[in-house]
Parts: sequence; structure tokens; C-alpha cells
Amino acid sequence: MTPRATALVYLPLMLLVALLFVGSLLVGPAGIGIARALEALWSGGADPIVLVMQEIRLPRAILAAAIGAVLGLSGAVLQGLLRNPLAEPGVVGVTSAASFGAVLAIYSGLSASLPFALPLMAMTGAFLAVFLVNALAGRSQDTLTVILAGVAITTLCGALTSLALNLSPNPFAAAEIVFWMMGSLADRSMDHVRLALPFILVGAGLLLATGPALDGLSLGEDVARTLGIGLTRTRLLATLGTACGVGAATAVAGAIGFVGLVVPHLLRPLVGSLPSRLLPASALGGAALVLTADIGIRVVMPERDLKLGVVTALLGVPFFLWLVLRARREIS
Amino acid sequence: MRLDVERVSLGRGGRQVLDGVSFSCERPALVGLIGPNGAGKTTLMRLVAGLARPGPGRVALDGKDTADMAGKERARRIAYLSQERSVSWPLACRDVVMLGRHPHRRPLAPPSPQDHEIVDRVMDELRIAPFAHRRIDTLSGGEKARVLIARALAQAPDVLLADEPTDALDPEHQIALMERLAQIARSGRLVMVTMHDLSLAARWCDRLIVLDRGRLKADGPPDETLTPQLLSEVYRIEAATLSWEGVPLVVPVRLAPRDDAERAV
Amino acid sequence: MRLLRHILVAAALVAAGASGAVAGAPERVVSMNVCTDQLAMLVAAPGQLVSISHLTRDPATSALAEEARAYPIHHGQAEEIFLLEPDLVIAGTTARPTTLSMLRRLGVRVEQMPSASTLGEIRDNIAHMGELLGQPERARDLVARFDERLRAVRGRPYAPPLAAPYYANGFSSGGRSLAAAVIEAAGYENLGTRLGLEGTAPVPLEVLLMHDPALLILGTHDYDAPAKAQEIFAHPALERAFGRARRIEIANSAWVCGGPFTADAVEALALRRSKTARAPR
Repeated sequence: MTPRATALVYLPLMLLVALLFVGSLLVGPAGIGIARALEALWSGGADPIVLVMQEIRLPRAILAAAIGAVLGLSGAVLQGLLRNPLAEPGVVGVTSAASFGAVLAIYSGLSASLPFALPLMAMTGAFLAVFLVNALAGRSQDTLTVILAGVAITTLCGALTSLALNLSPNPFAAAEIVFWMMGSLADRSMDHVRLALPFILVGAGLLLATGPALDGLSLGEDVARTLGIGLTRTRLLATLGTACGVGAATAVAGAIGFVGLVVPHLLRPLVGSLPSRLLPASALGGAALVLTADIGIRVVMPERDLKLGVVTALLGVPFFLWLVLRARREIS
Repeated sequence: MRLDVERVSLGRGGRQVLDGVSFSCERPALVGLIGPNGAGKTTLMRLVAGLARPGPGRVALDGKDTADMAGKERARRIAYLSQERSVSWPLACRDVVMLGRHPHRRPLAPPSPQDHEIVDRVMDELRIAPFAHRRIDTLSGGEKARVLIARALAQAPDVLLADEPTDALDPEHQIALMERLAQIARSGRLVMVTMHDLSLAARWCDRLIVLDRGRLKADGPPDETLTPQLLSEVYRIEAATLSWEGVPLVVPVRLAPRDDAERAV
Repeated sequence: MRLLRHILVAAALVAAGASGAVAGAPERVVSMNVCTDQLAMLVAAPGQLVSISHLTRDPATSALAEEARAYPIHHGQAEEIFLLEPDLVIAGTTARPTTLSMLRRLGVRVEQMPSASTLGEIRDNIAHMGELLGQPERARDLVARFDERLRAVRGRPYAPPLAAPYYANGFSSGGRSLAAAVIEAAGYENLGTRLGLEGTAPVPLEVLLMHDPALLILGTHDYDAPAKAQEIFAHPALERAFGRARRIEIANSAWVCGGPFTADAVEALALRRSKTARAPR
């Protein structure tokens, strides 16, 4: 695949993300004209339109793009690292572990006094999950082992999250389990952007750095090592990058699943399957998917506060099943 | 260039997989590493490739211990073709060959013009240029084997290690592959292959290193090493060693006679 | 305010004990609902109300949480209520039907009372409670005092400023809610009513901001434990849009249930309006 052919994939994706980003800024329950809306992004003061654009819609669009990008990216990296087409932060249990970390931070009251405890605890949860999956299935090439390890982690963290929320004396807490299992970007603020974006960027940087090593890994671990690829270093980058990126994303938006599964699969044929080319494409594709889904829930069901995670799961699960069927055919 | 394997030993699970193996090679040469199952061929090859560390002893390239080399430095000198030939993703053939340039590229930098030139050259040499843009999962076994060799050659190595490269190939492709490896050796490299087919080994290798239960049993030109006595001792077979139009043939015929007690094992 | 309430309750208890009990009044009354609990506490004679719901001790929903500590509580189970040997059980309209029918089968008299969503219904409910407990005079006194307080704040402005209550999870009150009735009685227009909402419904933050209400009414948070539901109150957009002068805290308990204490909220809001009307924004 020539650089020009690669550019032919990246450029339309970038354009799409840019358009969707602007589209996300223009969609909302308060009908604001396009010109006034975009003008309000740059003006000062406390005019209601300025507030809506700068404090409500802008952070929402930024978070949708950043979270989508890091989810798509970490899906592509996990698939490359585990050489498993079904790997994805949600499927391997990273998202639910991050949720549990975030739940502990919020409902214990820790994040009220130390705001950064929220992303940090979510990242710790995510890190432990990636570490566990690596330990349980890192050596084995078996697709199923990874998925089963993920199921175990997801179930455990889901149960612990429910327990933590049910134990909270705040009657609202119990209902918030929905948010932690089916994330949402509703009414996120610039505070959330400040909490999550730095970690998401660092995570994305770490994940992108794994590209060449993942290319080599497609020939198997032994050959990759004889190409001078440090597997320990690569695993560390992927683990820290996923923990950082997905942890921070989940801390502010709850669990948004299947982005990391769907996006790399759709884009893989377009970039000739090479992981290092797939990674940036998956970041762009993930941003586009989450922006689209988040615009969709505001256009289709503006009154119902439909959860973003519901939409991505509705898109992702049939896809997942199709992949499972295909993997089963290949095994047999 | 000189490869020295000095008294390498490796134990695994209480068993001595390699036990004080020493030999030296210089390029150009096509060296066959043979021996029955479990003799330690693959382990020895992995040691030379830097995939495992010898206990005592060392593997040295021009006097420098390969264990002291950085991964990329070693990768620029030694290329390794694994027995495992699966490629995880449906990559284009040219992309697979380009992977061989990894040790020569700077981190995250795009391939240089020189990288492209070398990749094009090895693909020409191996006559796989026509399917540069085909997906590797659409190739036949022989074509795929050539693509993977091209990947190893793109590393521009002094030493090419190939673990059972003829395994699972039909006779035509086995011969074509051995010809190719011999040619690569003649072009000035040290090529080391493990194999089970004694005729192929005898026909194409300049030198055979015979391993038996982790120990070096014989080391020399094919006609000197593949003696009836060695075949009986190491492989426990009787074989017809023939010559057909000047080509040596080793045809296993029957199991060597031995004690019943021993055979039961 | 709290002190005033103590005095009122004490006065009510004394008055009820001294006079007015109608012959044949129920002697052992159990109330099962936060709203009926509070009315019963105000209307009943000493000893007449034998148990109330445990929820009434929760300051987040109950205006008389403090006073409720003086009463034994129950958890709404049919058997624990039956064992109290009540001759009258007063429940809300949302009580579990199975519990009520079981009590009725066991021969207990069960009365249900809808919660008030207008100030008029508060009057009716107090009067009805007076009849049920055989304390009509106590009830009449409470209604009279309630009306008096409301009359004192009348004087609706020609163009009522817009006010919006904002609760956890970004909910607000629409028309036909007690909150809307209170807001309107205090001389404000309720945002939820303008938006055509019914009952308690979500109002997206950006819709709230675009309508730019003159007063944002926040509940007092009585939960120590944090939840994401309350995160909305810390949203920087709220901070930037509504300064100190444009927000007020009114305990949710003032309009979760209608009662004489609902007048506290009307008075507080009306006071704020008259202050801001004098000082230009």
C-alpha cells in the first residue's frame, strides 16, 4: 500500500471527523442557528448562547471525539497485541474494571476532595484488568481464553460496581448503575475535559507507539523478537496506554463498549490490515463513530436521554456475534 | 564473518535439551542442522537467533557475544524463519517483506527510499514481485514460503536461520526452496536450516551438523556424516545411501535392529 | 424556621389534647406515607398516632424529620403494621396494593389520601386528615393559619419573572406539580409550566440556560454520600450563568409533600422576589 493510498484513507476520515465535530456542536435541545452557534464559540461574556456553546456543547464534542479515538485505538492495539480479532477494551473487561475504579472514587467521596482521584482510580482498575487478561491469556493464542477471561473480569467488576452503588446511602446512586454500564456524554463539562483529556492524549500516544511492534507481531512472537522488537516494552506500552486512555475515558463517560471492536474491523481492509496503519485510522474512525452515535441520540430521541453505550452496544453486539461465527468457522 | 557456538547447554524441566554443543561456521555456507525429533535442533536454532539464552557457553558473531547485542543490532545480522508460518492479518505481500526492514528503520519513521529499493530487489530475486499487492492469505504454500524468505532477506542479514523451511511443502517447492537457500548462501551468507529430509540435506547442504539428544554427534560434509553407522545410532534406521546421476540420496528403508527392551521405549 | 416549626407542632399537640376530639375518633392510628405522616403528626392528639414510616425521619423528603424522631417507625410491611393493632391505617395512593388489601382482609380500616399538587389540595388534605382523626378543629386551625400566611404574600406582579427549580439529574417541575403551585403563588412563572412539562421531568441544561430564568431554585442536599446525580449542580455553566443573586436554596421537603410547611417555601421565594424587584438586576 503506497503512501498515497494510505492518505486516501486518512484524509476522508479526518474530514469526516471534522464535519461530525462541527455537527455535534450544532445539535442540541436548544435550537440555535448555525451562524450564531459558531460565533458564540469564540465570544466572551455570559450570554446564554455563549454558555451553551462553550460550557455544554464544546466539552461534549471534545469528549466524544477524544473518547471515541482512544477506544478505537485501544481496540486496534489489543487486537494486534493479542493477535485476536475479538479483543476490545469492553470485551476483555477493561472498561468494566475502569468503571468500578471510577465508582469507588466517586461514591466514596474521594473524588469530591481530590478530583484527579476519579481518572486515576479508573485507570488503576483498567490497568489491573489488562494485566489480568495478559496474565491469563497473554501466552496462549487461543481466542476463547481471552474472551472468557474478559467475561470473568466484566462479571466480577459489574457485581462489585452494583454492590458499591447499592451500599451507598444516597438513593440516587443505585439508579446510576445504568450510567456505569451504558455510558453517556450528557451534560459533561469542561471540568471533565480537563480531568480526562490529558490522560487520553498520553494513553493515545503510548498506544500509537506500539504500531511498528504490532506489525512485527503479526509474524508471531518469535519472529517479532528476532526483528529486534521488545515484547515486554510493547506489552507495557499497550497496557499503560489502554489503562490511561480507556480508564480516563470511562471515568468521565461511563462504559462505552464495542467501539474498539467495530472500528478496527471496518477499517482493516482499507489500510491493508497493517497494524501501524490501522492505529491512526482506528483513532479517527472511533472518533467518527462516537460523534455519530452521540449526535444520533440527540436527534432521534432528544427527550429520552438515551445512553450512548446503548447505541454502541446495539451496533456492536451483532458485529461481535458475526465475528464469533467467523472465528468458529476458521477454527473448525 | 564467523559464527561461533561455544559449549552451549540448556536444560528444560530437568532434562538437558542441549548439552555442551560447540561448532563454528563461516560464510558463505549452507549448513544443515539435522537429528531426530527431540534432538535439540529447534532449541539450538532459537539460541543462535537470540530467542533463548544458553546457560553456560555463548553464541558469538565475529567474536561478539550475541547476548550482548541490542535486539535491533542482532536483527540486522541474524534473520530467523520460524517453523510457525502463520501471519495474523491478511497483509499485502510487500508489507510482509517490508517488515524485514524493521531493524534498519528509525522508530515510527516511514520507510526510506533505500528500504523500498531493498524490498523491491529481494522481491525480484525471489520472483514474488508480481504479487506484491496480493494478500498473503491468498497465496499457495510455496509462494508464501518465498514471501517469508524475502522478509528475512530484507533484513540484509549475514546469517539466515530457517527452522524446517521445507516442512509441509510439496517436492517441487521443496527443491525450489533448497535451490533458493543454496543461492542465498552462495551470495555470501551463512544459511542454517533444520530439516528432516536426509536426501534434501545431503543434496543441498555444504555441511551437516548432527544432533542427538542434545549432543553434537557429527559435523562435516554430507558424505562424511551420513554414514550407515551414524544413521543407525542416531536415527535408529537402516538407510540406502545411493548416488543417482551424481546426486546423493539417503532413502530410509527399515528400523535398525536393536534390543527388544530398547525398542519398547 | 425550624424553631417556628417546633413551636407550631408543640402548639398543635397541646391544642389537640385540650379540645376538639370528636367522639368515636380512632385511638390507634398508623400512617404509612411520608405525606400522610406529616399531616397526621400535625393533626393527631397525643398518643393517637402510634407509628409512622421510617422515611419521615429522612430530612431529604420530610419537612418534619426532626419531630418524627418522637414517633415509633415502621417499614411498610403488612405484618409489622398489623401487630401494632391499629384501628385506622392511613396510606398514600402509591402504597403497595397487596399490603393494603391484606390489612383490609385482616379487618383493619384503611384510608388512602392522594398527595397534594396544588395549594388548594393541601387545604383539603389537612381538613380530610382532621375528619379521619376526629380532630376537625385542629385541622381548621391549621388551614386558617396556612391561608393567612399565603394571603400575606399575595400581590402577584404584572409580569412575573421566570423561576426554575432544578433537581438532581437535571430534573425540574412542570405544571400540575406542587413546586409549580408554590412558585406561582410566590409571584414567579415556572419554567417547566412554560415548557409544557407535566410533573417532574428532565430539562436539558442547555434549555435551562437558553430560557435564562431570573431565579434558579436548587434543593438543599441532605445526602452526605455523593452521587453523579448531583454532579449537575457543579457544572461550570450553572456557576457562570447563575450568580449568588440569581439562585436560592429551598429544601425539597417543602414540596415533596404538601403541608402547612409548604408556606415556608412560598414565603422564602416571595421575599426573594420583592428584594430583587427593588434592586435592578
